[in-house]
Amino acid sequence: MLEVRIHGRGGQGAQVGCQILAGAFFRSGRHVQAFAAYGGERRGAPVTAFVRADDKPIRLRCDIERPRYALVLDPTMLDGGAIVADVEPGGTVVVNSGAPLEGALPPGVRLVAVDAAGIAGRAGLGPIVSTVLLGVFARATGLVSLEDLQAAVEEGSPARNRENLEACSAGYHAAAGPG
Amino acid sequence: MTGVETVAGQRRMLLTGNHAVAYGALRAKPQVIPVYPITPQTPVLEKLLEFAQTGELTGEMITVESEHSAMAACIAASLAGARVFTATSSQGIALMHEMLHFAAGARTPVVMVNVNRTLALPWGFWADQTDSLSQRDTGWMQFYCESGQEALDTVLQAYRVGESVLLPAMVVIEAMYISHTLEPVEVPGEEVVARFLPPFEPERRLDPACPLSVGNTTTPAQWRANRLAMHEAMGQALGAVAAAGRLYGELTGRGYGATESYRTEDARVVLVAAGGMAGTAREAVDRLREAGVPAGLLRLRLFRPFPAAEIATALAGAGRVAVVDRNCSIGSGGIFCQEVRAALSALGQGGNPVLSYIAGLGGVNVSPERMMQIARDALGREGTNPEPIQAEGL
Amino acid sequence: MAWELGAARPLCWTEPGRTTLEVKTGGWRTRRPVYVEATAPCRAACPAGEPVARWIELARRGDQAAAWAVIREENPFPAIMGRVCAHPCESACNRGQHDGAVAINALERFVGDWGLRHGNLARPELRRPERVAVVGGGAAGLACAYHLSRRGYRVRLYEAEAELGGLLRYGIPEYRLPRAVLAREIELSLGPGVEVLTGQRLGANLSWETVAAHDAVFLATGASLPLGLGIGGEQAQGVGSGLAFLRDLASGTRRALGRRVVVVGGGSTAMDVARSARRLGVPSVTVVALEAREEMPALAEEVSQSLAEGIEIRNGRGVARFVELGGRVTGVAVAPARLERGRDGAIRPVFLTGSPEVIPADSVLLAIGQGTDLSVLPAALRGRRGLVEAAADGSTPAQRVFAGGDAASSQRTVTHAIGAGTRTATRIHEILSGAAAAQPAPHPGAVAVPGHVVAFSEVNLDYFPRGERAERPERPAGGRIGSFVEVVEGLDAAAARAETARCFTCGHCVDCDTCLLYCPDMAVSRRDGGGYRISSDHCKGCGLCVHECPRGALQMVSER
Repeated sequence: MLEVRIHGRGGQGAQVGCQILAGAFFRSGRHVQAFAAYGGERRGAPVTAFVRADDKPIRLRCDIERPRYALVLDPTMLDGGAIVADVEPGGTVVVNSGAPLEGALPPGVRLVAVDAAGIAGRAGLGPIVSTVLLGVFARATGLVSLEDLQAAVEEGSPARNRENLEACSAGYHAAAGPG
Repeated sequence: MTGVETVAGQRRMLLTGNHAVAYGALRAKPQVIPVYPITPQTPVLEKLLEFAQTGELTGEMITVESEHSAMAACIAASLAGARVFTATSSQGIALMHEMLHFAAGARTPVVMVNVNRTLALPWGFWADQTDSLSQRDTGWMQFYCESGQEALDTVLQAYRVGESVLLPAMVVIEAMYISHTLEPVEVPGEEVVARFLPPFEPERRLDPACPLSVGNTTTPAQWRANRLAMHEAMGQALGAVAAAGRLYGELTGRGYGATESYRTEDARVVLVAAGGMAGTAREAVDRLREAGVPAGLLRLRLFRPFPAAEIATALAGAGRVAVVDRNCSIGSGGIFCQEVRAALSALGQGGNPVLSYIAGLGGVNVSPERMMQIARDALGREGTNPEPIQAEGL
Repeated sequence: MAWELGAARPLCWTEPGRTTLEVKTGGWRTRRPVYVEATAPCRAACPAGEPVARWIELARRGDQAAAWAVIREENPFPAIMGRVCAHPCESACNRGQHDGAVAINALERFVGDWGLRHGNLARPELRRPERVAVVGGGAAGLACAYHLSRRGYRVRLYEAEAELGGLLRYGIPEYRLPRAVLAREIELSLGPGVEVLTGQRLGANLSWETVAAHDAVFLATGASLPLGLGIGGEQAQGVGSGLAFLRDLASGTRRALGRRVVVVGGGSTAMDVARSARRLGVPSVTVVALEAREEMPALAEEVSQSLAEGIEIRNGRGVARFVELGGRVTGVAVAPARLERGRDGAIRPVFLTGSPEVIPADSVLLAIGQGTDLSVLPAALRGRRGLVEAAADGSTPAQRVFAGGDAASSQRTVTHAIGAGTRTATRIHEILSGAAAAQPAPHPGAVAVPGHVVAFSEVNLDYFPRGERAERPERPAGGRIGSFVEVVEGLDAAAARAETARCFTCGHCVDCDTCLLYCPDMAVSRRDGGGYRISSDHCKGCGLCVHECPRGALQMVSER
């Protein structure tokens, strides 16, 4: 089972992002599950979103405590790596950051940092960085095709469709392939 | 409606639990929908309004000023012969409480989705079963669903059962873990649903041309008789639930019962759970079995009427029984556990060691590891526990 | 769904095969509700007796044709009255105590304008053999002729001037009442039985004997004798009658007034004279009124419109004398004064201490009222106070001679004149035909109680959320003083519709179903064709329907 956890703040698109990623996995023929935990709808409040994908039906109804993949939409939430300390070895952490990152990651975890804020800003999305990081995730992990992801963005972005598609594609091309 | 067409005119879509029950309601073709919004139920209402705007939903949506009024409107519409749907959660169902008794006493087969959410105070938005369990004695049937798919299917079954025995039915899903969780759902086609659920045509209804009264002042004897009739109807509902679940399975490939036993044969420890947590428990059972621990799961789907005999039979051969409650009756303990213990005791199976675990109160995460811990704890304990065991403290 | 409920069947419902109709709660009753058709305060206040609530209700339903027809049962001139009526109905409107009176006058204009475009000429059958003379083609005479011809009488309508209309044409300027509106509405009022004879002045080229030869006579000759102040300088050149000035204007003669005009008077005519003078290009127009600003008989909107047009109004001032030089007026000496009304109703100034000041004037126009010329009438008709002697129904001491309008009344509004014409036509019909006038049927199932005027306390405000009253747009003052274009515009259809919804419809059932919905015994049922019926078997006289009725259309009465 693939387990992805997304960390962000209200307004960055974590909740919609988890649904888009689930949509992309669903298009690739997998069973999926996506949900978010947040303390009421409020901009700036921490949001954690979860995506599961599997070849067989998913029965778990709980948070993801040891994800293999994590997306961090706001680098200030990294907290020296504490927030992703439970990522499984061999996993990947995708971070929105144009600057070098400090702090430790668990052994064997790959860090992929991309200036998603810059890309989102140029695409006219303001603080909404989730679609950029989904593109980065797709390229860095190879778990989902850009085509499936774009189709999911097309269907799942509530507004500014064209901008989100552009941002997603730009994120995809800004990242290196699976290491 | 996008998605992939599958068998029997069903369409596979990615839906949240809230949207899934809205599709269930859409397929049931309710004629009146009085509803008042509350987090985390609001998306149900929003989706229904969307259906109403596109013309798919032809029933009349009534926006009322409170949940109390919503239920009052449901009762009147149902007595007038309309099929009625509503949805609520938490403080909403608490405010409805008085009217829930009215609905059952008047024998109106209203179907209501309740999203299990914490009751204030303190304030919260998370999964907790106390809101619906507090309505235990109102005379409503209660179904606890494990997934958005089951919730959609159960809305349709609740109509079939409720309209046959003239009792209202509550379909319960957990906040966030089901209500806001996106997952693939098979939405049955209209034709299949039409074969499963005929239009609501009560023999008698409120009709100005031939007026009748409902709920007049009674003598003590009349009041007692009405209560006993309700109780009798609940008894009949047990059979109706089983029959409806079977028929639904024949038509859609997804059958349901009042309970579900999962790998309980030869189990030395059986986890008992309801709602979404049962899914996590199912995963835990598989992992325990892989690790050589003979564990099983008894999932409680129907809470009212309480399927006591079915539970007793299912647990007859079980070694240790661990009931996992996401609720706590303050001053007593887990409510599902009390019910299971009472049923076994009443049916002469008081010797079954039933342990009470409280887990995930207020939406605290219950992982499969936690469920495995509970099972292992139950196996290792001597006798039973007078005080419920706090799973998070294990 | 065939499920045998058996012992599980509901027991708190009426038993199968039976209904609550068996429970005849009517036996408990000591009082019972009755549907009534009472009088709304607007109608009670209307000098022309218009059934305002009824026509507004029809307009609310979108049936302008029916609304127009209902107004014309009483008043043939809704488009005119929707412009020039002083609308006492609005002062009486119960809604005034809630959130502002219904804009009845604006709605009447809306319905009247519909009639101008879509209304049809009445073509009543001339089934009466009698012929009636109506002397005077102003509002009273036209209304009387209209109602007589509707009842099948032949009418000879004598008019002294060249055209019909009386003060509507010769006293009210075009910026308040466009000529096309006046002409069309008069045309719509004249049935085939009305023979119009213009240029026929009683006592000049029309003899009393000619008039008296008819089966009945209605005298509506108006009041055209200008009143003077009887003070020094009044005969000077440049001092004249305001009404004569307006008449000349209406006839196409524009008098040279100079650059400074003083108008004496505080009523509508004074405003009309002053505003017309402004429109003729007079730069300085001053109105001298005895009354304080808020006590002026002119309508508040006329006063504010006048001020907006640059007219100065000097209140609480009396004219002491006219200043002249070489026989020509050069100014008006005014002094602080208050109004005193004599026992005969005449108005005179009581000067207060304070020195007079002189307002320079090239012309002075008096608008202080007119008298009736009684000299041409038989002695029996000459009443006291300078009016023709006539009762409320128009009858006079002379057999088959009737009188109304300004000639016979000191209540000199167009609406009073129309009311007088209407009432007199009814009385003439009663006398000539010997039949009592038919009363319109009340709402089905209702009892008419015309003597009961619905009070504000009888309206159930729970059904009427507060809402803003519609106001008609006005053309900006800067653009209007250069011409006689109409100042006040009409409501558009949406605003009119919204305004009709504000009407309480006091005392009139509108089939709103409130009684039906509230009756706990389901004793109320709808009748075919409107209205309700109450089952005496089941009404237990609780009075909920009366209590809930939004508009006072139900009353409790004792059972005998």
